[in-house]
Order: sequence, then structure tokens, then C-alpha cells
Amino acid sequence: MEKFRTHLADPEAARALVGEIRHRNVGRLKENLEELEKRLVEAGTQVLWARDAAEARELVAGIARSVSARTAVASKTMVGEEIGLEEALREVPCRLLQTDLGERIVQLAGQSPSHITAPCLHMDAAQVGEILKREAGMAHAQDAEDMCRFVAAALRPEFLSAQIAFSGANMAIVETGELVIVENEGNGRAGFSLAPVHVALVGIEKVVRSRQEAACVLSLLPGGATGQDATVYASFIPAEPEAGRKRFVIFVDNGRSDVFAAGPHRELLRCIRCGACLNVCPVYERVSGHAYSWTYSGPIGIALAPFMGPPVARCTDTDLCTLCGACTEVCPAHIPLDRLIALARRTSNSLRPKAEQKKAQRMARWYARAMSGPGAFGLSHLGHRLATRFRKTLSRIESAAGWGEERAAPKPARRLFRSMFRQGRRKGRWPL
Amino acid sequence: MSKARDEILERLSSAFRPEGDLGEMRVVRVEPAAGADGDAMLMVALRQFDENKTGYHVLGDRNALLDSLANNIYSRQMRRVACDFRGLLAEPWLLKGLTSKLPSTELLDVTTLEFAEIASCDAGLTAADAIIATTGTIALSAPDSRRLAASLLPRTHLCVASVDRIVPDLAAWNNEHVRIPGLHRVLVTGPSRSADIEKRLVLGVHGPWKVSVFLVQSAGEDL
Repeated sequence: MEKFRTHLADPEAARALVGEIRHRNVGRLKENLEELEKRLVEAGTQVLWARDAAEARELVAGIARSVSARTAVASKTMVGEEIGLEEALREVPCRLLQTDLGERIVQLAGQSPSHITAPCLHMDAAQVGEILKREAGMAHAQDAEDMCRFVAAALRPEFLSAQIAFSGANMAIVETGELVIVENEGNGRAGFSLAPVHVALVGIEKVVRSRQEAACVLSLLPGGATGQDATVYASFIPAEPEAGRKRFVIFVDNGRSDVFAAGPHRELLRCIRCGACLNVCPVYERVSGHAYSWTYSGPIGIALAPFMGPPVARCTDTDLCTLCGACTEVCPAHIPLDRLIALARRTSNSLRPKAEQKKAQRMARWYARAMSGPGAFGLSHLGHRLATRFRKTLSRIESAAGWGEERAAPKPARRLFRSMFRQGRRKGRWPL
Repeated sequence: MSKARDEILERLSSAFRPEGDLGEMRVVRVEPAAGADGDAMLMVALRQFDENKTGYHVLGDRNALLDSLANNIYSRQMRRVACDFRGLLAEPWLLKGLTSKLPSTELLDVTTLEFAEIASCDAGLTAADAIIATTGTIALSAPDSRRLAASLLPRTHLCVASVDRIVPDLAAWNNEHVRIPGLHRVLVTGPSRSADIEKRLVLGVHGPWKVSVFLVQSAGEDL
């Protein structure tokens, strides 16, 4: 099986190497951060630290106030989503415009991204068109190309007039102090190139030692994310801000040090946020990103939730996994996600209220009975089909299973596969 | 030093550290699929240009380069071109040749333009630091972001390079590149794009809609 597309002669060796690089970088996280900070400060970049989202919001608002910013542009930053960047700037007040196409669409829709690298994956073109008509006054929103061009044209003057550009960073190189940002649209480059103030929100785990290590990570990151050999743009921003400009780097912890201290879960900090695990997850494919309770969805979101997520995610998101292991197979950073999700479930279960725990155990027992034999399974299938005719009964069952209103269970098939198979064999359509 | 900084670093240092050396790491180069031979690298680069929708012209000598570049600019009716006059583009014959062949096109020095003016140009003209063969990538570097804006803000990006600038991979470019403080570096792999709406690929979003590379083979004495 081709796990993901790559131009490398030996993708498995590359995965092993990237895994090793990230493992070592995370292992020496404190030393790496101290050295990186020293290099950035010496070069004239202002370095700030935030223990949690609230502290990061304060810092961001403080910077916006200090430069009297009224308009800011942001390229895709998951740390920005995590801390609530838009809310922080609203209080300044400073208008924040998301500039990644998908991010801009979900911003106009008043939603949150449903995928790490494809924020409006949950919408079809018609829905996007409706949003652009309603919120941005686009006249004929039908074709993806037209919509894309319309959003880009509307944002061009904003890039030229914004006082601050916010970005994340895919990597921060310790030896040179460079920030590495990868993207396909050019909005990140336009943001930090044009605005007089650049603020990079960097998760503390994003450090790599050298340019060569960054090159190794870059060789796999785009393949994991979008199947490309290379993203359209990979920018290496020097530690030295240009004359007359300011650069701030905010190192955000927000639970990462808890992950670091959580024994085997430390491996999760190897993550390069490519989204490969989401792309292959059968549960994610069915339920989409909004079924998860916080910023990070899919396997990596589940594994991080008990340590970094809000209370509701800590308790429930770990259920959204079948432990099939597809994510582990494709992870470019070699993170044993399935094993760590299984471990995270233990942590998650211990955090649940007793009543919730009992409910989950009860459901597991019902499920075990239903799957105990063909007769029991047929009976439960019949029961489920009958229940779908009575919506209230079904929603009660779903609620007992811990599924909310936004997670409707699929309707059961009209006939069981076994009966279809028997009939097919009788009619000679099935060879067995 | 801030309280937050000290607390975060304290948390990291007090956490359990497994036995074993996490010090210096031997970075093993993962060999890309391409060989390191010059012609082979050129072929790989051209294949990758096709793959990532970069237009390319392989030209024999400086006259062919001049003709091809001038034809390209003329046929697309480009009136204003933002140029980063460094590297190959700093050669006096190139500017002189283009000026004589394109009397109705303004070749503007990007360092004298505001960002809004660069954005209003029909094209940006740059000289590549290197071409990375295995990904078909144009590697650019500049002391400031204004020069690099020529490869970002206009709708078309034209880039010249000699074939001896082709390197096998990013690691090779890193090796060639000494650390110069304040040097902005960017890798450009095709026109800007998005597949955010229903996974449909659209070329041309915030960056150029079209990228063309002019590779000149015989650098020789003429250049």
C-alpha cells in the first residue's frame, strides 16, 4: 500500500528519520527553547511567553493596542484558533481578517475550521456560494474558481492596509532563529511581507535544531497534508526584523508542557500538524471535524484532548476512534497514535463523572450482548429499525449512548447483509 | 524574564527524562528519487515543473534567453514588469536587450516601488538562487521582503536561471547557503493554488496565477 505520496526514494526511511528528528527535538525542548529565544532576542525579535490561552490573548491584544492597530490579517494558524485570536482582537477593537480561503469562508459563516489543512471541507460549493452571496455580496457564486478569485480580490487591499499580520509557524529553527511557514495560497507571505508588524504564534513544540532537519521535515509535511511533493511556498523568515518593522514571537504552552510531562504521551509533541491522520481516519470521514469538541479534530485531536482540550473534549472525544491504526500507518512523524489514543482513553475515562462512566459501561454491555450471536444481532437490528420510526425513542437511545444532537447516528440498512447474501447465493449472483 | 517563561521552562525541566543520549544527532540525508547527475537533474526538474504547473523554457544561449523572455512579455502584453535586478538579471546585456526589444514595456526596479505598485505590475521578474530538481522548486533569497514581493504580488512570475543552478534537493541548497543575517529565503513550487472548495484545484489565489522558468543552458563566457 502506498501510504502517502512522496518524491523520496524510500518514504519509510524518511518517516523514520523525521520521527527521530522530532523525538530528539522534543526530548531537548527546554534547551532548544532557551537557545532559540536567545538567538531571536539578539537579532531584535521580541519574544513573549504564554502559559495558557487567556495569557496569549492578553499578549496579542496588548501588541495590537501598542501599535494602534485597527485591521489585522491572519494566515492559517491553528494556535490562533486554539487561543481565540479573533475574540482577543475584538476587544481591542481590531478587525481580524482570515486570509486563507477556507478560513475566510468559515469566518464569514461564523463557524470554526473542520480540518487542520482544509478548514471548509465540510461545505459543498453551493453552501460556500450562499455564504459569499449573503456575507460578502458576491453576485454569482457558482464556480469554485470564481469564488476563489472573488475572495482573493476582496482581500488584496486589506493586505496592503493591515497594520498587523498574524501567523503560526510550522517550524522554528534553533541554530538560525528562522521561522518556517509553509502554504499554498500566498496569503501567509503577503501577510508577513506587507504588514509593518508580524506576530508569530508558535507552539512550544515546533522547534527543530537545524536547516537540514527542517529540510527533512519539509520533505514529508506536504505529502502528509495534501499529497504534494512540496507546498507552493515555504518561507524561511530570518530572526532579524527588517528596518522599520517589528516582529513578535509568542511561545504558547497551553497544555503542551502537560503533554510533555505525561509519560508516553510526550510523543504527541512530535506532531507536525500535517493532517495526514485526519485524511485516513474512517471516523473523521463519517462525522467530520465539527463532531469533535475542540480545535483539533481527528486522531491527533483525540490523543491531545485529555491534556490540552476543554473539559468536554477531555471526557468525550476519545470515544471517536475505532483503534483501526490507519493514522499510525501514515503519520510522517512516526507517532504511535493508536496506542496513545488507547492510553488517552484511560485518562479520559477517569475524568468523566461517575454517572457518565456507568452509562458508558451500560452501553458497552448492551453492545456486547447485541454482538454476541447472529440471533441477538438480528434482534438488535430489528429494534434499531423500529426505533428510527419513532424519532424521540431513537434520540433517547442516542443520548444514552452519549451522542449529542449534532451527531445523528446513520439509519440502519433495510436488510441485513447476511439475508442479502443468502438471497444472492440462492439466485446464483454470489459465487460462494 | 517573565514569570510565564520561567514557569514553562521549569515544567519542562522538572518532567521525567528518559535515559539515553538526546544530544547531537546524525542527520542522515534521505536520498531523493533523482540522481545527482546534471542532465538527470534537469530532466527531473522539468518533469516536476510539469507536475506542479510551472511553465518552462530550456534555452541554449543568452540570445535565445533574451528572445524567449521578450516574446513572453510581449505576447502577454505586459506593460509594467517589477524586476529584481540581481544575479542573472544584473547582467547589463539582459536589461539592454530587453529594453530595446520591448520599447513599450516598463522594466521597473522592484526596490524603488511601493507594495501597492508592485501589486499593480503585470509581472514580476526574478533570478533564481537555485532550482531544486526533485520538487521542481524555485529557490529565492533576498535581503528584504520587497524584492521577494516581485515573485508574489503580480499575477505572473517570470524567473530566469542557468542550468548550473539546479541542485538535487533542499538539503543541497542549505549546504550552499551560508548563514547571512536577515536573509529572507523562499521556495516557490508552481503558481499559488487552493483546493479548499470541494477539493477542486484552482490556480491563482493570493500569489501569481502563472509561473514560468527560463532555463539557460550555455552560461559560458557570454554570461
